[in-house]
This record gives sequence, C-alpha cells and structure tokens, in this order.
Amino acid sequence: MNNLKNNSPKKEEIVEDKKTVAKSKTTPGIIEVTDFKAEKSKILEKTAKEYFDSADEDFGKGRYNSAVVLYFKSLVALADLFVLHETGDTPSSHNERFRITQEQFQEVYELLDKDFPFYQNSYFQIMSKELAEVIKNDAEIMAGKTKVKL
Amino acid sequence: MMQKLWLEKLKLNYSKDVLDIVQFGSSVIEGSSPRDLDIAVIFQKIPLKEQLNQSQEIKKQLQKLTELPIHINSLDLYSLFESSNFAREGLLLYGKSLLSKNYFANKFGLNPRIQIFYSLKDLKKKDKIKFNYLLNGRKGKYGLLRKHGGKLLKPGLIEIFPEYKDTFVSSLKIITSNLEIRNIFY
Repeated sequence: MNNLKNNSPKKEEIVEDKKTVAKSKTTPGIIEVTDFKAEKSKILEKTAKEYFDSADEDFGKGRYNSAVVLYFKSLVALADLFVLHETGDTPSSHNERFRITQEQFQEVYELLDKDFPFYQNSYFQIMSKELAEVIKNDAEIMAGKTKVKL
Repeated sequence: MMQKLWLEKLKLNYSKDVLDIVQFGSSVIEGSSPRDLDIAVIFQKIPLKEQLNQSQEIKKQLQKLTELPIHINSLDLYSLFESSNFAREGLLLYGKSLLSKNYFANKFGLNPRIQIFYSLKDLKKKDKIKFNYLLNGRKGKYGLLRKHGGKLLKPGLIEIFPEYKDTFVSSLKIITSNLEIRNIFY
C-alpha cells in the first residue's frame, strides 16, 4: 500500500504533465502529441465499435437494457472522438462532456442529453426494443459525424 | 429561482401530439429544497423517437425559466400506466399540469388527496389540546388545516392536499406517532 502511495505521481507532477501537453499542442511538429491524439482516437474508435457490436448482439437476444447501455456507451465514445477531432482533447467526465458539447457542439449535446437519462435509469427500469433502436440510431448519427464505420 | 412552474403563465410551444406537461417529484412538495425539476411530457401514441425529440424542445424552453436542472420524462398513456413506470404514482398523486394549472389526475376525472388518520387516545390532556391548536389554530392564528386548505372529516381523520403531506406529518408527529396515511383519489 505504502509503495503504491510512493509510486503515484505527485500533484505538481500531474500539473506539469498537463502543461507540457498543452504547450505541445500549440507547437506544430511535435510528434509525441500527434501520436497521443492518434492513439486516443484509435482507442475511442475501437471501443465505439466494440460497444456497438456487443449492443447489436444483446439487441438480437432481446436484452434491451444491456443494448441501451452499450449503444449509449458507443455514442459517448463517438462523441468523445468528435470532441477530440475538434478540440484536440477529450472530456474526462460526464459533467465535462456535457459542458463542452453544450458550449461548442450543440447537436452532439442534444443527442447526449436526450439519451443520458435512459442510461442512468437502465439499472432499475425496463428498456424497450423501441428505445434501444432510438439510441442505436443516435450512435449511428454520431458515427456519421465522426466518419467511423460501425 | 422559479420552482413552481405550474403557477406561472408560460408561453410554451408544443405540438398537438402533447396531451400534457406535468411537473412532479420533490419540486412540487411544499417546504422541499429540490435539486432538480422533474417534468413529464405525456404524448399521444407516437413513435418514441418523435416523443424524445419533442421533449427536448420543451425542455429547452423550460430550462430558460429556472436555474435548477430539468429532468424530462417522455411518456404516452400506455407507458404512463405500465408497472415498470415507477414515477406513475407520484405523477398521479402530486403531478401538476403546466397546461391546465391543476392536478394532472384531474385529466382522468380524479382528485388526489391524502387522508391522515390519527388517534389521541393515549395522550395527556395538554398534548390533546396542543394537537387541536396545531390543526385548528389559536388566538386568531391559523392552524395547519386553514393555512394549507385541509379538512377535518371527522374526529381522528383529516384530509389534505398531497403536496402538504410532509408539512402535516412532520408537525403532527411531534405530538403523536399514532398516524395512518392513505393516498386517495375521488
């Protein structure tokens, strides 16, 4: 436990890391940053597809609650990918995601804001086939915006 | 901060698919400090996708009127009465229509009320008097019944508006815990 504590980066170090990234972003030609963005982009695309495929599987089996959750997760990954393409960074929480999209990408915000309550309620509410189809459709819209082939 | 939206003169744009727009949840309970406003939009039977899109438009209009975040629910008459809709009772008992300014239940010809049965049997005389003052007032001061529009139906039974349930129960409980509460529609 103590070792873990000692190995974890200090607050100042984290801040310093962020500063470096922020500086690099504005300096063209720094390969590290390009790689970092490309890597993040690749991960988001992969997770979006993975969630979407799993959602399709669950949908096919009539597991609509799982399908709703997974389609929504796919939608979120694609929304993050969109934000990454547009701003060079990704949100780190739902709150930040909502804030950024509301301020800058209203159409994306609308999709997230509309579907988020179902994701939240999926633990205790029965989700319908029709709802799963709606959220699937929204993930597909987002895929279109990010030019990802699901 | 605007909280009781059903009391306001609202200029809302909505389609003919909308049967009602209802505020419910903690924000309609008297004396509460809600963290958000629960709104249900009740639709004719139209596709869910259409319901959700229209609800978003209504949400945008309502959000301009309050600083509290609005949680919007889209329902049609089928999903409203489904057993999986846990908001069903709250909507019918407490729900206030932003369109008619009355209880949402009125739409179905129902008046929601709460009946509180109480017994003063084992109380000391001074507590019985205190209880009576609490309900009926004293020396020109209004009691809970007059203040909040409740009625004494018979000794041991009062009927009140649902949104005042917590107000009544918390006050009465100080004197007696011998209370039985029933939600009724007539």
